[in-house]
Amino acid sequence: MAYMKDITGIQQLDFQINRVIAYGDLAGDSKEIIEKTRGIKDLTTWFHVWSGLVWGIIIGIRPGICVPLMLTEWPNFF
Amino acid sequence: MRTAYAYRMAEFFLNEDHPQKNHMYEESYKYFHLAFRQMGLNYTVQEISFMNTYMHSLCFKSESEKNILLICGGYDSFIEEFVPAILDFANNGYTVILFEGGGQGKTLKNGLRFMADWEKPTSRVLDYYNINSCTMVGISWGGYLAIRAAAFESRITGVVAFDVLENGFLCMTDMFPTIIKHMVRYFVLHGKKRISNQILQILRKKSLIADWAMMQGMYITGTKTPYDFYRELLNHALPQDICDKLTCHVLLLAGERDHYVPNDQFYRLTNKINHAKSLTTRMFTEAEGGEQHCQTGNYQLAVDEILNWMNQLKD
Repeated sequence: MAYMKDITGIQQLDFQINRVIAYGDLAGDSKEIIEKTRGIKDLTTWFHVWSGLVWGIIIGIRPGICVPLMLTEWPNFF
Repeated sequence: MRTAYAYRMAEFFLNEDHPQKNHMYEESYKYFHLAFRQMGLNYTVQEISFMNTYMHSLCFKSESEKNILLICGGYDSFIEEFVPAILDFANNGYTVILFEGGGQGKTLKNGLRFMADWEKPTSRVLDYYNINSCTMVGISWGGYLAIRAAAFESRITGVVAFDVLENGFLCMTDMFPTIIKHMVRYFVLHGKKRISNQILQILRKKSLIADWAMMQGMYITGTKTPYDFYRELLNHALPQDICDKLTCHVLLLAGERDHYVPNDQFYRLTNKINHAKSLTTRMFTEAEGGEQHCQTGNYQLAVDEILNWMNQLKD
């Protein structure tokens, strides 16, 4: 049984996402990661989605709440 | 730990000159080590002097050490991200030493570029820790690096390619369409710099991943053009004369649907190793969930395979 999940439709991006998911709960909430990364279509959205996940974890934003782009562009803003 | 991995992923595809690249790396590093401390992991961080700079290393010392396991990554890895996967080794009586040689993680930030002759950084690490005998595991591109190091370094008594990489140049040109792939290989091999760069620049514009792979390659090798990068990769190969120097125990791993390293490299390397003390090969299948590069999705499969292999080695 294959454990790799098809998420973005771009093989190499899916591979990187699966690298993290494969570590289990320790590395991230796989449901949240899959939900958020599904919208990735290029390397720019890749950066914004993962930056958003960083801030989601740090300030406790839950899945479904949009992280303002400003936060992903300027993590040192605060 | 989740923050560390999210930072790591955000950083992963950023260009070398992106204003956030170093910040993302530093935050990832900070959160990884915060998580390790919160997990109560017993380890030390060592910065090992080498070629006028420092190599980054982590050491998980086992109380009841039955062997030493030396681990390195590959083309785009940080050793911190491997830690959750290697804890089983530490918990099974192995002292685990991870290190970043040239072109990797913090060592790259220290200015040391990726190098084909991996026995040099490896020997320095063995000297630093005063190791007389160890098993070495190379992850991803480390599958080439570890085999290369073991061919030249007699203190490595067992080596694991997790997974196999027999030829870096062929691997990194395999992503192109067939005709283009053969053209690139021909022009690079014959020293045709201008036409090679023209074709490779077109490929970079056509493919995000090709663009990233070449950008990352030039970054870690310190080369200025895609052609120079590919020329450098010609050194990352395991020809017969190097394989003939391998006299330790060898374990070769591969996944049947590896989309980075073509499976023919696994079979080619298997056939070249004639003087190893023992040779064990394992091609993981989709049915068992280990078909991907480095068994991504199911690392445990490979970790268990390596543990079982190490446990049954006699000397």
